[in-house]
Amino acid sequence: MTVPNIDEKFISTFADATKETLAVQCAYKVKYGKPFLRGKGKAIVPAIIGVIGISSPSFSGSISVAFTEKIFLELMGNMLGEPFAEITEELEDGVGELINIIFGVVKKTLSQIGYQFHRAIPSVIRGNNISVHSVSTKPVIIIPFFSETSPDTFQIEIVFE
Amino acid sequence: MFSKSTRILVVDDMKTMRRIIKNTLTGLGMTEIMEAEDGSEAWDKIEGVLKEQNPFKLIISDWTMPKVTGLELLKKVRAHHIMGKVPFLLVTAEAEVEQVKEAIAAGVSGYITKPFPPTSLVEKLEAIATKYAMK
Repeated sequence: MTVPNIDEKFISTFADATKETLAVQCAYKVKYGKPFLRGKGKAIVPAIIGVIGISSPSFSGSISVAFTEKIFLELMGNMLGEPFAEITEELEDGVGELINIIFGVVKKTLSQIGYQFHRAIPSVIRGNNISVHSVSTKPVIIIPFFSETSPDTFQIEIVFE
Repeated sequence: MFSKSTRILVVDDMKTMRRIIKNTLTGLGMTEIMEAEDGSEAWDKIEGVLKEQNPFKLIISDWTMPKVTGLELLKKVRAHHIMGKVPFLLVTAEAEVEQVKEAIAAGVSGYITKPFPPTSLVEKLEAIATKYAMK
């Protein structure tokens, strides 16, 4: 598999935007680790994934935010101000809104230095033991995220078209 | 701040964001909150309550929505002979300088950029209430 040329500014902006979004909207502090190619590091088994397609001169592909059920319920609980015991249909919308907000922060940051983007409406994938890109032969970069207060983790998956 | 019986319309295509805003408003004691999924449905609701002689006194709308956007809705509201001066708060995830200028030119009362904590929304509402002397 050919490793794509990675625009490091693009990737770090996405990671920073995720960190900011969760801190402000969900009162949830996280830090992120070094990105790795799928299969070359420890990835989570997500229960819900928000996916957004992006095309720009610097990147074309999709970006996903993938959560385990535990961390997603905690984020939604903080964001909506009430506890949740399971991922309901109504809560699924929340992962779409999170990736919308993250993308908005990225777009605002990168447009200031000349980047331009087009994006699709986010979609949500839910289930047990899912991975959007598990059957893809395209390169997938994973950015691992860690809670600052618990052992919980989640990840961003970047797929190059 | 707005009175607890102020009739408010919350417009966003994402259910979660409507819920976040609604939870903040109900936390302030507001009870007359209606929702719409986009600018088109919002306009239908605006016209509906006008017929009841009980118009919305505050509109909180997302910018990016299918069919009719928040900016288009704002322009339509501002052009209406009864609704023209109603406080209108825009919520946006992509606030760029040009966008902000466009919203101000269209007569927006205030805007808030996602992500935002509930306290920021309350502060924006307080500022708008003061501006419109609706205490």
